[in-house]
Amino acid sequence: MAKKYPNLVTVLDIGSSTQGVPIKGVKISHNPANKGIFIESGIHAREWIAPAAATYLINQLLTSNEDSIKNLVKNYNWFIFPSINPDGYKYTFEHDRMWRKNRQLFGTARGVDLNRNYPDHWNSTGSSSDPTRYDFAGPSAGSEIETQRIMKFIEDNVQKEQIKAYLALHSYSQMIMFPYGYTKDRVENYDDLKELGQQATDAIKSLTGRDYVSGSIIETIYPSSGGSMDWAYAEHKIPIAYTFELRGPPDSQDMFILPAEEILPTSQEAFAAIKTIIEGATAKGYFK
Amino acid sequence: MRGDNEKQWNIFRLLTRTIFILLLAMSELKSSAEGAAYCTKDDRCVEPFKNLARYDHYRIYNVELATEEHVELFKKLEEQSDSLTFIGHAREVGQKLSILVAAHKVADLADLLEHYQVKHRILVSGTFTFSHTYKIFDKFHFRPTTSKRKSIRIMLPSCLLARIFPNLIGITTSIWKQFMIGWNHWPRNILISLLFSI
Repeated sequence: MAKKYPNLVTVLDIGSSTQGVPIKGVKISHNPANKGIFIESGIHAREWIAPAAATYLINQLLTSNEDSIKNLVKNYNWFIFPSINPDGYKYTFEHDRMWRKNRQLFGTARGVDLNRNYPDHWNSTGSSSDPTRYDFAGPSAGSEIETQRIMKFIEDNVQKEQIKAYLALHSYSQMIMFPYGYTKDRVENYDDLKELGQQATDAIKSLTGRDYVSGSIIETIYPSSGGSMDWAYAEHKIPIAYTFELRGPPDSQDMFILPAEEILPTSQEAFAAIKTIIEGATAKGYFK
Repeated sequence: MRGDNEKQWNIFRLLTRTIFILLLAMSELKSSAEGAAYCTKDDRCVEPFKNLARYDHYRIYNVELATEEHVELFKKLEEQSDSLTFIGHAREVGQKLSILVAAHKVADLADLLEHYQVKHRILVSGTFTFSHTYKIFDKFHFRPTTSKRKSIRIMLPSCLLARIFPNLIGITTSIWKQFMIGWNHWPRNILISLLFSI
Protein backbone atom coordinates (compact mmCIF):
# COMPACT_ATOMS: atom_id res chain seq x y z
CA MET A 1 0.00 0.00 0.00
CA ALA A 2 2.79 2.38 0.88
CA LYS A 3 4.45 1.54 -2.43
CA LYS A 4 1.21 1.92 -4.37
CA TYR A 5 0.24 5.20 -2.67
CA PRO A 6 3.58 6.71 -1.65
CA ASN A 7 2.20 10.22 -1.29
CA LEU A 8 -0.62 9.12 0.92
CA VAL A 9 0.37 6.10 2.97
CA THR A 10 3.05 5.62 5.60
CA VAL A 11 3.46 2.29 7.34
CA LEU A 12 3.78 2.67 11.10
CA ASP A 13 5.53 0.21 13.38
CA ILE A 14 4.99 1.13 17.02
CA GLY A 15 7.10 -1.70 18.38
CA SER A 16 6.73 -5.38 19.06
CA SER A 17 4.28 -7.34 21.16
CA THR A 18 4.94 -9.58 24.17
CA GLN A 19 6.06 -12.35 21.83
CA GLY A 20 8.01 -10.09 19.50
CA VAL A 21 5.46 -9.55 16.73
CA PRO A 22 5.51 -6.02 15.25
CA ILE A 23 2.42 -3.94 15.91
CA LYS A 24 1.84 -2.18 12.63
CA GLY A 25 -0.58 0.33 11.27
CA VAL A 26 -0.92 2.87 8.53
CA LYS A 27 -1.07 6.63 8.39
CA ILE A 28 -3.16 7.97 5.53
CA SER A 29 -2.47 11.63 5.10
CA HIS A 30 -3.16 14.08 2.30
CA ASN A 31 -2.17 17.15 4.25
CA PRO A 32 0.05 17.17 7.34
CA ALA A 33 -2.00 19.99 8.80
CA ASN A 34 -5.18 17.91 8.92
CA LYS A 35 -6.62 16.83 12.24
CA GLY A 36 -6.17 13.17 13.12
CA ILE A 37 -8.46 10.18 13.59
CA PHE A 38 -7.04 7.16 15.42
CA ILE A 39 -8.57 3.70 14.96
CA GLU A 40 -7.49 0.59 16.84
CA SER A 41 -8.87 -2.86 16.35
CA GLY A 42 -8.20 -6.43 17.41
CA ILE A 43 -7.46 -5.69 21.07
CA HIS A 44 -9.53 -8.79 21.82
CA ALA A 45 -8.05 -11.59 19.79
CA ARG A 46 -11.18 -13.60 18.95
CA GLU A 47 -13.08 -10.62 17.53
CA TRP A 48 -11.98 -11.26 13.99
CA ILE A 49 -14.50 -9.01 12.32
CA ALA A 50 -12.76 -6.01 13.87
CA PRO A 51 -9.41 -6.36 12.03
CA ALA A 52 -11.38 -7.25 8.91
CA ALA A 53 -13.41 -4.05 9.21
CA ALA A 54 -10.27 -1.99 9.81
CA THR A 55 -8.71 -3.46 6.69
CA TYR A 56 -11.87 -2.61 4.75
CA LEU A 57 -11.67 0.95 6.04
CA ILE A 58 -8.13 1.31 4.79
CA ASN A 59 -9.11 -0.05 1.40
CA GLN A 60 -12.09 2.26 1.11
CA LEU A 61 -10.08 5.32 2.01
CA LEU A 62 -7.45 4.48 -0.55
CA THR A 63 -9.53 3.21 -3.44
CA SER A 64 -13.01 4.69 -3.30
CA ASN A 65 -14.04 7.10 -6.04
CA GLU A 66 -16.98 8.38 -4.08
CA ASP A 67 -16.62 12.11 -3.46
CA SER A 68 -17.66 11.99 0.17
CA ILE A 69 -15.03 9.36 0.91
CA LYS A 70 -12.38 11.22 -1.04
CA ASN A 71 -13.19 14.20 1.16
CA LEU A 72 -12.56 12.10 4.23
CA VAL A 73 -9.09 11.32 2.92
CA LYS A 74 -8.46 14.89 1.86
CA ASN A 75 -9.57 16.57 5.07
CA TYR A 76 -8.45 14.22 7.84
CA ASN A 77 -5.38 12.18 8.72
CA TRP A 78 -6.09 8.57 9.56
CA PHE A 79 -4.07 6.36 11.88
CA ILE A 80 -5.37 2.82 11.63
CA PHE A 81 -3.99 -0.18 13.54
CA PRO A 82 -5.84 -3.33 12.50
CA SER A 83 -4.36 -5.69 15.10
CA ILE A 84 -3.00 -4.33 18.36
CA ASN A 85 -2.93 -7.75 20.00
CA PRO A 86 -1.10 -9.75 17.33
CA ASP A 87 -0.01 -12.54 19.69
CA GLY A 88 -3.58 -13.24 20.72
CA TYR A 89 -4.83 -12.96 17.15
CA LYS A 90 -2.26 -15.48 15.96
CA TYR A 91 -3.22 -17.79 18.82
CA THR A 92 -6.83 -17.80 17.67
CA PHE A 93 -5.75 -19.14 14.30
CA GLU A 94 -3.36 -21.78 15.58
CA HIS A 95 -4.70 -22.97 18.91
CA ASP A 96 -7.89 -21.53 20.37
CA ARG A 97 -10.43 -19.66 18.30
CA MET A 98 -12.03 -18.26 21.44
CA TRP A 99 -8.90 -16.68 22.95
CA ARG A 100 -9.36 -13.05 24.04
CA LYS A 101 -6.33 -11.80 25.94
CA ASN A 102 -2.68 -11.29 25.08
CA ARG A 103 -0.18 -14.10 25.69
CA GLN A 104 1.86 -12.94 28.66
CA LEU A 105 2.63 -15.77 31.08
CA PHE A 106 1.69 -15.63 34.76
CA GLY A 107 2.75 -18.89 36.33
CA THR A 108 0.24 -21.44 35.06
CA ALA A 109 -2.02 -19.00 33.26
CA ARG A 110 -1.64 -16.73 30.30
CA GLY A 111 -2.97 -13.46 29.19
CA VAL A 112 -4.14 -10.02 30.22
CA ASP A 113 -7.35 -8.48 28.93
CA LEU A 114 -5.68 -5.54 27.21
CA ASN A 115 -8.92 -3.55 27.30
CA ARG A 116 -8.82 -3.66 31.10
CA ASN A 117 -5.13 -2.80 31.37
CA TYR A 118 -5.08 0.93 30.65
CA PRO A 119 -4.30 3.31 33.54
CA ASP A 120 -7.73 4.88 33.85
CA HIS A 121 -9.51 3.82 37.08
CA TRP A 122 -7.66 0.58 36.52
CA ASN A 123 -9.20 -2.59 37.99
CA SER A 124 -11.94 -0.65 39.76
CA THR A 125 -14.88 -2.47 38.19
CA GLY A 126 -15.72 -5.06 35.57
CA SER A 127 -12.30 -6.68 35.64
CA SER A 128 -10.39 -9.26 37.64
CA SER A 129 -7.17 -9.69 39.57
CA ASP A 130 -7.13 -13.39 38.71
CA PRO A 131 -4.79 -14.32 35.83
CA THR A 132 -7.01 -17.28 34.90
CA ARG A 133 -9.94 -15.01 34.15
CA TYR A 134 -10.78 -13.70 30.72
CA ASP A 135 -11.00 -10.13 32.07
CA PHE A 136 -7.75 -10.17 34.03
CA ALA A 137 -6.65 -6.55 34.27
CA GLY A 138 -2.99 -7.40 34.60
CA PRO A 139 -0.60 -7.23 37.56
CA SER A 140 -0.59 -3.43 37.34
CA ALA A 141 -2.00 -0.60 35.27
CA GLY A 142 -0.31 -0.43 31.89
CA SER A 143 1.73 -3.53 32.65
CA GLU A 144 1.48 -4.99 29.18
CA ILE A 145 3.80 -4.08 26.37
CA GLU A 146 0.94 -3.89 23.88
CA THR A 147 -0.73 -1.30 26.13
CA GLN A 148 2.51 0.64 26.45
CA ARG A 149 2.99 0.76 22.67
CA ILE A 150 -0.42 2.34 22.10
CA MET A 151 -0.03 4.68 25.05
CA LYS A 152 3.32 5.91 23.77
CA PHE A 153 2.00 6.45 20.27
CA ILE A 154 -0.92 8.51 21.56
CA GLU A 155 1.25 10.44 23.98
CA ASP A 156 3.77 11.26 21.25
CA ASN A 157 1.21 12.15 18.61
CA VAL A 158 -2.01 13.43 20.15
CA GLN A 159 -0.79 17.02 20.07
CA LYS A 160 1.57 16.79 17.13
CA GLU A 161 -1.00 15.12 14.88
CA GLN A 162 -3.97 16.89 16.51
CA ILE A 163 -5.84 13.65 17.11
CA LYS A 164 -9.48 14.49 17.74
CA ALA A 165 -11.08 11.07 17.47
CA TYR A 166 -10.27 7.71 19.05
CA LEU A 167 -12.23 4.75 17.72
CA ALA A 168 -11.93 1.14 18.93
CA LEU A 169 -13.39 -1.77 16.98
CA HIS A 170 -14.70 -4.90 18.71
CA SER A 171 -17.41 -7.51 18.40
CA TYR A 172 -20.06 -8.50 19.13
CA SER A 173 -23.43 -7.00 20.14
CA GLN A 174 -24.08 -4.22 17.62
CA MET A 175 -23.36 -1.22 19.81
CA ILE A 176 -21.71 2.16 19.38
CA MET A 177 -20.50 3.33 22.80
CA PHE A 178 -18.70 6.30 24.26
CA PRO A 179 -17.09 6.89 27.69
CA TYR A 180 -17.29 6.04 30.51
CA GLY A 181 -17.20 2.35 31.30
CA TYR A 182 -16.32 2.63 34.99
CA THR A 183 -18.88 5.18 36.21
CA LYS A 184 -22.36 6.40 35.46
CA ASP A 185 -21.09 9.97 35.61
CA ARG A 186 -21.60 11.61 32.26
CA VAL A 187 -18.76 12.97 30.17
CA GLU A 188 -18.68 16.68 29.44
CA ASN A 189 -19.85 16.30 25.86
CA TYR A 190 -22.33 13.50 26.59
CA ASP A 191 -25.13 15.09 24.58
CA ASP A 192 -22.96 15.45 21.48
CA LEU A 193 -21.61 11.92 21.71
CA LYS A 194 -25.11 10.56 22.28
CA GLU A 195 -26.43 12.47 19.28
CA LEU A 196 -23.59 11.43 17.00
CA GLY A 197 -23.89 7.82 18.18
CA GLN A 198 -27.60 7.86 17.38
CA GLN A 199 -26.92 9.30 13.94
CA ALA A 200 -24.41 6.52 13.37
CA THR A 201 -26.91 3.83 14.34
CA ASP A 202 -29.46 5.47 12.04
CA ALA A 203 -26.94 5.35 9.20
CA ILE A 204 -26.44 1.64 9.76
CA LYS A 205 -30.19 1.05 9.87
CA SER A 206 -30.58 2.86 6.54
CA LEU A 207 -27.75 0.93 4.97
CA THR A 208 -28.46 -2.65 6.01
CA GLY A 209 -31.49 -2.59 8.27
CA ARG A 210 -29.43 -3.77 11.24
CA ASP A 211 -30.21 -2.41 14.68
CA TYR A 212 -27.33 -1.00 16.68
CA VAL A 213 -27.74 0.83 19.97
CA SER A 214 -25.70 3.72 21.29
CA GLY A 215 -24.88 5.06 24.73
CA SER A 216 -22.06 5.15 27.24
CA ILE A 217 -20.33 1.84 27.91
CA ILE A 218 -21.72 1.47 31.40
CA GLU A 219 -25.29 2.17 30.36
CA THR A 220 -25.17 0.11 27.19
CA ILE A 221 -23.19 -3.05 27.86
CA TYR A 222 -21.70 -3.49 31.35
CA PRO A 223 -19.33 -1.76 33.74
CA SER A 224 -15.68 -2.00 32.85
CA SER A 225 -12.55 -0.12 33.80
CA GLY A 226 -9.09 0.26 32.32
CA GLY A 227 -10.38 0.49 28.75
CA SER A 228 -8.34 2.11 25.99
CA MET A 229 -11.10 4.49 24.92
CA ASP A 230 -11.75 5.77 28.44
CA TRP A 231 -8.02 6.36 28.88
CA ALA A 232 -7.68 8.19 25.58
CA TYR A 233 -10.68 10.39 26.37
CA ALA A 234 -9.82 11.19 29.98
CA GLU A 235 -6.04 11.34 29.86
CA HIS A 236 -5.53 12.97 26.50
CA LYS A 237 -8.82 14.81 26.11
CA ILE A 238 -9.60 13.24 22.76
CA PRO A 239 -13.18 14.47 22.52
CA ILE A 240 -14.67 12.09 19.98
CA ALA A 241 -14.26 8.62 21.44
CA TYR A 242 -16.24 5.53 20.52
CA THR A 243 -16.02 1.80 21.01
CA PHE A 244 -17.85 -0.24 18.42
CA GLU A 245 -19.24 -3.68 19.02
CA LEU A 246 -19.85 -4.92 15.49
CA ARG A 247 -22.08 -7.79 14.34
CA GLY A 248 -23.80 -10.07 15.50
CA PRO A 249 -26.66 -9.12 17.83
CA PRO A 250 -26.47 -9.64 21.62
CA ASP A 251 -28.11 -13.08 21.36
CA SER A 252 -26.06 -14.18 18.41
CA GLN A 253 -25.69 -17.89 17.80
CA ASP A 254 -22.47 -17.20 15.97
CA MET A 255 -20.89 -15.16 18.76
CA PHE A 256 -17.40 -14.21 17.62
CA ILE A 257 -17.43 -16.58 14.67
CA LEU A 258 -19.26 -14.37 12.24
CA PRO A 259 -20.14 -16.04 8.94
CA ALA A 260 -17.86 -15.06 6.09
CA GLU A 261 -20.70 -13.57 4.07
CA GLU A 262 -21.25 -10.99 6.83
CA ILE A 263 -17.74 -9.57 6.68
CA LEU A 264 -18.46 -7.12 3.89
CA PRO A 265 -21.83 -5.79 5.13
CA THR A 266 -20.48 -5.48 8.67
CA SER A 267 -17.48 -3.54 7.42
CA GLN A 268 -19.74 -1.34 5.34
CA GLU A 269 -21.83 -0.65 8.42
CA ALA A 270 -18.74 0.27 10.43
CA PHE A 271 -17.53 2.58 7.69
CA ALA A 272 -20.93 4.27 7.33
CA ALA A 273 -21.10 4.80 11.08
CA ILE A 274 -17.58 6.18 11.32
CA LYS A 275 -18.19 8.50 8.37
CA THR A 276 -21.38 9.77 9.98
CA ILE A 277 -19.63 10.38 13.30
CA ILE A 278 -16.70 12.22 11.75
CA GLU A 279 -18.88 14.38 9.54
CA GLY A 280 -21.23 15.13 12.42
CA ALA A 281 -18.39 15.95 14.77
CA THR A 282 -16.91 18.26 12.15
CA ALA A 283 -20.22 20.08 11.82
CA LYS A 284 -20.17 20.57 15.58
CA GLY A 285 -16.70 22.09 15.41
CA TYR A 286 -14.65 19.29 16.93
CA PHE A 287 -12.18 19.25 14.06
CA LYS A 288 -11.49 22.99 13.95
CA MET B 1 -33.18 -59.06 -14.27
CA ARG B 2 -35.04 -55.79 -14.54
CA GLY B 3 -36.41 -56.35 -11.04
CA ASP B 4 -32.86 -57.02 -9.77
CA ASN B 5 -31.61 -53.76 -11.33
CA GLU B 6 -34.44 -51.83 -9.74
CA LYS B 7 -33.70 -53.48 -6.42
CA GLN B 8 -30.01 -52.55 -6.68
CA TRP B 9 -30.93 -48.98 -7.59
CA ASN B 10 -33.19 -48.72 -4.54
CA ILE B 11 -30.42 -50.10 -2.34
CA PHE B 12 -28.02 -47.57 -3.77
CA ARG B 13 -30.47 -44.71 -3.13
CA LEU B 14 -31.01 -45.92 0.41
CA LEU B 15 -27.26 -46.21 0.93
CA THR B 16 -26.54 -42.71 -0.32
CA ARG B 17 -29.27 -41.19 1.81
CA THR B 18 -28.01 -43.06 4.86
CA ILE B 19 -24.50 -41.80 4.20
CA PHE B 20 -25.91 -38.31 3.77
CA ILE B 21 -27.58 -38.42 7.17
CA LEU B 22 -24.43 -39.76 8.80
CA LEU B 23 -22.32 -37.11 7.17
CA LEU B 24 -24.63 -34.38 8.40
CA ALA B 25 -23.69 -35.39 11.92
CA MET B 26 -20.00 -35.08 11.22
CA SER B 27 -18.45 -32.07 12.80
CA GLU B 28 -15.32 -31.72 10.70
CA LEU B 29 -15.43 -31.11 7.00
CA LYS B 30 -13.05 -30.07 4.33
CA SER B 31 -12.25 -26.39 4.06
CA SER B 32 -12.60 -24.40 0.92
CA ALA B 33 -9.76 -23.13 -1.21
CA GLU B 34 -10.18 -19.76 0.47
CA GLY B 35 -9.19 -21.24 3.82
CA ALA B 36 -6.32 -23.52 4.68
CA ALA B 37 -6.01 -26.48 2.31
CA TYR B 38 -6.75 -29.20 4.85
CA CYS B 39 -7.80 -31.67 2.20
CA THR B 40 -6.92 -31.57 -1.42
CA LYS B 41 -7.08 -34.31 -3.97
CA ASP B 42 -3.44 -35.12 -3.30
CA ASP B 43 -3.02 -34.98 0.44
CA ARG B 44 -4.48 -37.10 3.18
CA CYS B 45 -6.49 -34.39 4.93
CA VAL B 46 -3.76 -33.60 7.43
CA GLU B 47 -4.60 -30.89 9.95
CA PRO B 48 -2.25 -27.92 9.65
CA PHE B 49 -2.14 -27.10 13.38
CA LYS B 50 -1.76 -29.43 16.31
CA ASN B 51 -3.13 -28.99 19.83
CA LEU B 52 -6.23 -27.08 18.84
CA ALA B 53 -8.77 -26.10 21.47
CA ARG B 54 -12.05 -27.91 20.84
CA TYR B 55 -15.61 -26.80 21.49
CA ASP B 56 -17.41 -30.00 20.57
CA HIS B 57 -20.69 -30.42 22.44
CA TYR B 58 -20.52 -27.00 24.01
CA ARG B 59 -23.83 -25.19 24.31
CA ILE B 60 -24.70 -21.53 24.14
CA TYR B 61 -27.46 -20.63 26.56
CA ASN B 62 -29.31 -17.34 26.60
CA VAL B 63 -30.76 -16.91 30.09
CA GLU B 64 -33.19 -14.36 31.47
CA LEU B 65 -32.53 -13.00 34.98
CA ALA B 66 -36.03 -12.58 36.31
CA THR B 67 -35.24 -12.10 40.00
CA GLU B 68 -32.50 -10.81 42.28
CA GLU B 69 -31.87 -14.41 43.21
CA HIS B 70 -31.12 -15.16 39.56
CA VAL B 71 -28.72 -12.23 39.37
CA GLU B 72 -26.81 -13.43 42.43
CA LEU B 73 -26.84 -17.00 41.16
CA PHE B 74 -25.20 -16.08 37.87
CA LYS B 75 -22.72 -13.75 39.55
CA LYS B 76 -21.58 -16.69 41.67
CA LEU B 77 -21.50 -19.02 38.68
CA GLU B 78 -19.28 -16.65 36.76
CA GLU B 79 -16.86 -16.41 39.67
CA GLN B 80 -16.71 -20.14 40.20
CA SER B 81 -15.59 -21.56 36.95
CA ASP B 82 -14.23 -20.74 33.54
CA SER B 83 -16.10 -23.72 32.15
CA LEU B 84 -18.88 -21.21 31.76
CA THR B 85 -17.84 -18.35 29.49
CA PHE B 86 -20.06 -15.37 30.12
CA ILE B 87 -20.66 -12.84 27.38
CA GLY B 88 -21.31 -9.89 29.63
CA HIS B 89 -21.94 -10.07 33.37
CA ALA B 90 -25.00 -10.63 35.51
CA ARG B 91 -26.04 -7.20 36.74
CA GLU B 92 -29.74 -6.59 37.02
CA VAL B 93 -33.20 -8.08 36.96
CA GLY B 94 -34.63 -8.32 33.47
CA GLN B 95 -31.27 -8.77 31.82
CA LYS B 96 -30.57 -11.44 29.21
CA LEU B 97 -27.17 -13.08 29.10
CA SER B 98 -25.43 -15.48 26.72
CA ILE B 99 -23.21 -18.16 28.24
CA LEU B 100 -20.96 -20.63 26.44
CA VAL B 101 -21.10 -23.82 28.50
CA ALA B 102 -18.44 -26.51 28.41
CA ALA B 103 -19.71 -29.98 27.59
CA HIS B 104 -18.98 -31.38 31.03
CA LYS B 105 -20.94 -28.57 32.73
CA VAL B 106 -24.11 -28.85 30.66
CA ALA B 107 -25.77 -31.22 33.08
CA ASP B 108 -24.90 -29.05 36.10
CA LEU B 109 -26.21 -25.91 34.51
CA ALA B 110 -29.35 -27.56 33.20
CA ASP B 111 -30.05 -28.76 36.70
CA LEU B 112 -29.62 -25.25 38.14
CA LEU B 113 -31.78 -23.70 35.48
CA GLU B 114 -34.56 -26.11 36.32
CA HIS B 115 -34.15 -25.81 40.07
CA TYR B 116 -34.15 -22.00 40.07
CA GLN B 117 -36.72 -21.82 37.27
CA VAL B 118 -34.57 -19.68 35.03
CA LYS B 119 -36.17 -18.94 31.70
CA HIS B 120 -33.68 -19.76 28.96
CA ARG B 121 -33.08 -20.65 25.34
CA ILE B 122 -30.42 -22.92 23.94
CA LEU B 123 -28.98 -20.96 21.05
CA VAL B 124 -26.57 -23.63 19.93
CA SER B 125 -26.48 -27.24 21.03
CA GLY B 126 -23.85 -29.84 20.26
CA THR B 127 -21.53 -28.38 17.74
CA PHE B 128 -22.03 -25.20 15.77
CA THR B 129 -22.67 -27.43 12.78
CA PHE B 130 -26.14 -28.34 13.96
CA SER B 131 -27.59 -24.88 13.67
CA HIS B 132 -26.47 -24.79 10.08
CA THR B 133 -27.85 -28.22 9.34
CA TYR B 134 -31.35 -26.81 9.74
CA LYS B 135 -30.44 -23.85 7.60
CA ILE B 136 -29.29 -26.24 4.89
CA PHE B 137 -32.71 -27.85 4.72
CA ASP B 138 -34.47 -24.54 4.70
CA LYS B 139 -32.19 -22.94 2.18
CA PHE B 140 -32.19 -25.73 -0.35
CA HIS B 141 -35.70 -27.07 0.28
CA PHE B 142 -34.24 -30.51 0.43
CA ARG B 143 -36.75 -33.25 -0.09
CA PRO B 144 -36.00 -36.91 -0.78
CA THR B 145 -36.04 -37.39 -4.49
CA THR B 146 -38.41 -39.87 -6.04
CA SER B 147 -36.77 -39.69 -9.44
CA LYS B 148 -34.49 -42.60 -10.23
CA ARG B 149 -32.18 -40.58 -12.43
CA LYS B 150 -32.19 -37.33 -10.48
CA SER B 151 -28.80 -36.23 -9.16
CA ILE B 152 -28.61 -35.84 -5.42
CA ARG B 153 -27.13 -32.70 -3.98
CA ILE B 154 -25.64 -33.57 -0.65
CA MET B 155 -23.03 -32.26 1.71
CA LEU B 156 -19.85 -34.28 1.97
CA PRO B 157 -16.11 -34.06 2.34
CA SER B 158 -15.09 -33.97 -1.25
CA CYS B 159 -12.24 -36.42 -1.08
CA LEU B 160 -13.76 -38.94 1.30
CA LEU B 161 -16.75 -40.39 -0.56
CA ALA B 162 -15.02 -40.14 -3.89
CA ARG B 163 -12.27 -42.30 -2.44
CA ILE B 164 -14.65 -44.82 -0.93
CA PHE B 165 -16.80 -45.14 -4.06
CA PRO B 166 -14.49 -44.21 -6.93
CA ASN B 167 -16.62 -45.97 -9.48
CA LEU B 168 -19.83 -44.43 -8.28
CA ILE B 169 -19.12 -40.85 -7.39
CA GLY B 170 -17.99 -37.98 -9.55
CA ILE B 171 -17.29 -34.64 -7.94
CA THR B 172 -17.97 -31.45 -9.76
CA THR B 173 -15.48 -29.23 -7.96
CA SER B 174 -16.58 -26.15 -9.81
CA ILE B 175 -19.93 -26.34 -8.07
CA TRP B 176 -18.78 -26.19 -4.47
CA LYS B 177 -17.94 -22.51 -4.51
CA GLN B 178 -21.57 -21.78 -5.10
CA PHE B 179 -22.58 -23.97 -2.21
CA MET B 180 -20.50 -22.74 0.66
CA ILE B 181 -23.38 -22.84 3.06
CA GLY B 182 -21.81 -22.28 6.44
CA TRP B 183 -19.06 -23.44 8.72
CA ASN B 184 -18.43 -25.60 11.70
CA HIS B 185 -17.05 -24.66 15.07
CA TRP B 186 -13.40 -24.62 14.02
CA PRO B 187 -14.38 -22.82 11.68
CA ARG B 188 -14.12 -24.74 8.48
CA ASN B 189 -16.38 -24.15 5.55
CA ILE B 190 -19.17 -26.58 4.94
CA LEU B 191 -19.32 -27.45 1.28
CA ILE B 192 -21.90 -28.95 -0.98
CA SER B 193 -20.78 -31.02 -3.89
CA LEU B 194 -22.91 -32.41 -6.64
CA LEU B 195 -23.21 -36.16 -6.51
CA PHE B 196 -23.99 -38.11 -9.62
CA SER B 197 -24.96 -41.71 -9.88
CA ILE B 198 -22.92 -43.44 -12.52
